[in-house]
Amino acid sequence: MKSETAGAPSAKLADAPSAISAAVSAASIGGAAARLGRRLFGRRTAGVDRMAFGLVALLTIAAVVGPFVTPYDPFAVETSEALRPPSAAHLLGTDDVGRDVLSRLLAGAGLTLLSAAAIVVLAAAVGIVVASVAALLPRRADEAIMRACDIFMSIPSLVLALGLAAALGPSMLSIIVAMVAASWPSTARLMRGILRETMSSSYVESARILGMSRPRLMLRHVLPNSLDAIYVQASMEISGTIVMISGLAFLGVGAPPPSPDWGSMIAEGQQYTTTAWWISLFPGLAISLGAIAFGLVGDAVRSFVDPSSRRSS
Amino acid sequence: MNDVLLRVEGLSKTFGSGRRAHQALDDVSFELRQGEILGLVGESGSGKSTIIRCLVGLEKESSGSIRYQGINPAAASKSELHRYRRDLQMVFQDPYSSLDPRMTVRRIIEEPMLVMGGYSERERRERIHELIRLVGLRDEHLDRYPRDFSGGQRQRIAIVRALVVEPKVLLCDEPVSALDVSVQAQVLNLLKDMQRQLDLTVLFVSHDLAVVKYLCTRLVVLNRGRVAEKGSVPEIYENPQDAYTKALLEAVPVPNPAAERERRARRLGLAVAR
Repeated sequence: MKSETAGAPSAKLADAPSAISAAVSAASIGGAAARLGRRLFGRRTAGVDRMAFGLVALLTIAAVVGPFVTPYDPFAVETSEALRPPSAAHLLGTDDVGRDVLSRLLAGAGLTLLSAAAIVVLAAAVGIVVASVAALLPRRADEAIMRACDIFMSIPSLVLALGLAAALGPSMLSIIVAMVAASWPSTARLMRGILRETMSSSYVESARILGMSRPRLMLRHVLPNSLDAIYVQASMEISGTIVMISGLAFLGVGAPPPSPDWGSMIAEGQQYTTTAWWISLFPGLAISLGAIAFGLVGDAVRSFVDPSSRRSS
Repeated sequence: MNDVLLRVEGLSKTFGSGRRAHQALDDVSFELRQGEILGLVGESGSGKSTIIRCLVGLEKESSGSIRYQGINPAAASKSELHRYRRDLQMVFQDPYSSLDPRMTVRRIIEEPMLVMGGYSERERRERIHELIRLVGLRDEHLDRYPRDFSGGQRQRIAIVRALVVEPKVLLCDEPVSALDVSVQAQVLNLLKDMQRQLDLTVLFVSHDLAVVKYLCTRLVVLNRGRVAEKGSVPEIYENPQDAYTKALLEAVPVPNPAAERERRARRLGLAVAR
């Protein structure tokens, strides 16, 4: 009756292959996402949330179709048009080598937002896998993995990401790698705590006493019931990540010029803040707007998942 | 006297170690006889639930032994352990947390049969339909989720889940204490019916002496992890031997206003005297 021996006999008894349970839990995740969608865009959604969703939708559209609808070529150098203030021809002005700021903003939206999304999704995925594996391992290995996460977390993530990205060379990919490396441990820690809580619920215990194997228990009951908190954390983290990757790009570890990502654009306009403020201001506004909108969406997701944290407004 | 089905001997359980060690069970012995409903009573913290958790393997006993029809689950072969797990099923206290919120009732009920194996798809389907009707639910309930049901209905579903693999012994951990008083009786009657119809042996953990008196044939009274008293229900209710059992029985309200007033006065006097 020891829990360590519980896995062995039931592995043989389990007639359904684990692929089925995986598919089943995937389906239940999909179901939850559908419920979330209905709730977020339903009639009862608050005004602020609607605005935030609208903005996020707009930014997403900009990220996807932006590069194809730019009024000018975002890379075309036109020295005769350099440092033009916002006008009818150039709605947001031009930079020091005459490139259209609006065009570059649109071309860079995808780069900035999709990188942020990729980082959050990848970090969550790594965190979930590490936490699940730790939960399945014997207690000591579990402890060791979690302490390793603590050590990772004790290094300031900006410093860690900066160092890693610098070592990997200046590119958007190295920012993504560095950011994922810096942020997965916190997801893993969070997830491990939630998994532990879910594992002690009586519906999991009721499956355990039947002798269900631990991996199957994890896929069928524990993970599907633990992912809500990860949706929340992920949606909350997108906005912070947008700011972080822009910061890294600003510091010069991002994509090399002439990349139009928003952080680099601010850096390029740095020398002209007093004479040509529009070069830095508009990408800066875009970053703020993106961060605020995704932050509000994260809040809305949280209040959907956990109604007790709802804003009092 | 009926055959002994399950024997618990010298069961002890200590949680934690060193100065923070807490002994939840101390040398508990009792036996469960074929076809009876044995009540395990005591106040909260008396170790009632820990006994059930040791029986189903959710906790590992510190010492002592469990023996079910010759099977010792701590040292059983795979096939013995399989039979043990199948023959002893459990109903949890809180029907709001004992059903996976992301599964339909059908899947919840089907799962034990899948894990235990040996049921064809047709058998599984037939058993689900048979049992869900037996507990007074309908076929259309099968494709709903636990959140669509009341506490009493959920506990019926939990009972079906426990019975679906044809157990011999049903372990009930305060199965009605989380329910409204009005539905407690329904669930208790259901348990009694099932016990009779399916020839089950039931270990019924409760702190509610009125419930136990109604349902059980024999009692084991627990006090701080120790057995205070054992005996048949009439014996214990008519003539309790142990001081703790007397105090427990004293605390039960009497459905007669005059007698109740007298009882309260007596208890108050007792409290003042102390």
